[in-house]
Amino acid sequence: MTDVTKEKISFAQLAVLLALSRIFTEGTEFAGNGYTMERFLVILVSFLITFALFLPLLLLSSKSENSAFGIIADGNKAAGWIFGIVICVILLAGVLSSVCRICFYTSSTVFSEAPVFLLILLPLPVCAYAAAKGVQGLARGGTLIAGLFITFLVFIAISLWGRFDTGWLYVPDKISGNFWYEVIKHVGRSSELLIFGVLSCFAGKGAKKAVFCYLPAALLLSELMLLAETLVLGPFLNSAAFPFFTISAMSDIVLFQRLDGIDAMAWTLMFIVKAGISLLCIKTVFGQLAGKKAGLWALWISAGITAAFALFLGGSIGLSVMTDRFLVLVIPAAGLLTALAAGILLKKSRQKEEQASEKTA
Amino acid sequence: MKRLLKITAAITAVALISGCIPHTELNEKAIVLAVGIDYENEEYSVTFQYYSPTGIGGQTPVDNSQPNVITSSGKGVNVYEAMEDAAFKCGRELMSGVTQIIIIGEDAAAHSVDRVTDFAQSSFQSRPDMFIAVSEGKAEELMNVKFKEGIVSTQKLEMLLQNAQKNGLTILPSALDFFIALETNRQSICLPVLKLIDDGKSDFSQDGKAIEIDGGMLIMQGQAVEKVAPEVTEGLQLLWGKTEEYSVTVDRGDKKITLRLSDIRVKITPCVEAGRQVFDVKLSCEGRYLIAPPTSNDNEQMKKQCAEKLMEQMENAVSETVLKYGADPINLEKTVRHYDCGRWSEVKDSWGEVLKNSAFRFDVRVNIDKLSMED
Repeated sequence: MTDVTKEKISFAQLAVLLALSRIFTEGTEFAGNGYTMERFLVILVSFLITFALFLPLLLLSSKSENSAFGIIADGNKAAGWIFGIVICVILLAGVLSSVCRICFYTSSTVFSEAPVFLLILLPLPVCAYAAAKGVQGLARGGTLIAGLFITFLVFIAISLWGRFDTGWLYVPDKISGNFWYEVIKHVGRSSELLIFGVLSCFAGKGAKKAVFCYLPAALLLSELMLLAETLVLGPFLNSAAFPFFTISAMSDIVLFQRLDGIDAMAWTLMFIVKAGISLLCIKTVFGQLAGKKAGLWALWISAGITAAFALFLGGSIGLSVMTDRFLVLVIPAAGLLTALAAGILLKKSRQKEEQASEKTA
Repeated sequence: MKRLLKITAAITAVALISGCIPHTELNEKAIVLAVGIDYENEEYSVTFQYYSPTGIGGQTPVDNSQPNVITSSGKGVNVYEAMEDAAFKCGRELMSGVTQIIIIGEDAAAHSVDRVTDFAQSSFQSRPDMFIAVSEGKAEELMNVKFKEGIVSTQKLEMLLQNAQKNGLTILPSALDFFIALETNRQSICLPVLKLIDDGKSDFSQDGKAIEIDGGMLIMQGQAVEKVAPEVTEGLQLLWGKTEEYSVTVDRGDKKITLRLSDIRVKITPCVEAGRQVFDVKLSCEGRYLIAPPTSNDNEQMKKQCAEKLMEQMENAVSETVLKYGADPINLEKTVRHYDCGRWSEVKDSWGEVLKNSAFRFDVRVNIDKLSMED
């Protein structure tokens, strides 16, 4: 197998990339959220379940510096190809969903006059280029975007402080029937499981620390964003199509009259990280299976396929919703199967190594 | 060299791609500052004031002594169509990013405030903190009043409303407050009523017209129910907890003493007594004499009289809105849900009736600074 994992990043950088990817998913869950305190619990429980799903991968990363996919690809070529293709298809579906989401969001808010094809075609090459530059470039860019995003959140908090109304918070007296459906929906969008399964090798020994950092950080930020939306919008959350955009438009500080334009910019940058990291996974998978050049080809072809699909279907939000439904059970299942297969193959290879060393002895 | 080429290519691409996006220059847009909406004979009419700088000897510099606005009107079966018609007539593309106020005509408010304002809700350009008011008569008449003060005419109207709200003289919900109210069980809010004064004596506008705030319009189930007196809106504003400063005049026999209240804090807590919904309203504030009382011994008496006056004001506001119609202009739903969600689940289907039969207990504490008296 080709070693395309020579580049190294710190666990903190990996954590930032994973957190941005997750926050983008949480933040672009637009309409239909409703004004209910259950959502705080939905996010919390879904993160706890996601952590549980991460456990096999964490166990694996404590035993080997290689990623779960790397172990599979090294242990069994056929299994490597099967898992590789499945992972890439799932991640590509995630990118397609994200493109449709960001296209729908920007065209509905700030770029109402821009043609949809430009909103699809402009950011995708940026994501592909970021992925082509490698994990280090993407990690550095991701850290910068994370910094910008945190600054944006601080601005929002400062400018909306006077508008926060804690009266809108309440303790729900019962849990509604669709609580678990919502939880599963959130868990099913944790493509970071697969991303970690492919990219953990770049962080080496510290990979598992990335999960311990990214999950609490993403959980905290997701809950804080929901809290800000609830405190400002209250029951209007039932109708607000883009709640965070609406509260950004309310802010009125000396530097900026309104922050909705910056909000659109922040989510576009987050999208670049989300799509970039998925495309990087595709590049890594094919790089490990068929060589560095094949990895690059796979990356650009994947970006092309995503653009073609998104353009063909007009970047509709319906396509994104449909894709997400398909991914709901597929992502956790694929994550667990990858960890399981990697565990078995790792055990086998260790046994082989032991037998070989016994023979030599 | 390679890097330089890459940077040049990127800059060229950015410059070229920007040309691919259809755009309208700012001077070709109608920057809408105020919108007036009327309803008559099952047809909506929209009149908007848009920015048009009137400079001396040129088009662009702004002459502050001029209203700097132009109005355009249109009609249609819904507000969108009427807006499009008005935009068509002015020959410009509408830009609602800086709209400061929406005025709903009396008839339009009686028909449905929900349908009238949904254009603002769905337009992501518009600011959620613009103001919403109801006009006595037609909103179009108010749109035709062009104030000379300020850079644009609407600035004067905005300042008038803001100042009144600050001093507790009117309730002034923003578009967001309004949208939130429409999402509550009773879809209830109180909007300020604007009245046209057409006596030709005013110095504020070119044609001697003026606009005054005259009480409020109670909205329930998304429709105007009744025009309420200015005293009611003052009471509601107190209960809403958004009054920054407020003046109370107390009759002390031969002298009328005025107090300026500040740091006004209101807390409403719900409870159930013998199956009846009860609201405990606690108001505390700091008072300062604007006209000193006859003797310093009057302080305690003044506190008591001032508290009674505030209580009376709030009681009047509650009885004219909550108890009379089962309306919820001060968002009591939020209070009940916040403190006892179980209770809210029980009463939400009959919330209007619960409000009509509810009781209010007032506890007002006014702390008068003695130093101000000695001054």
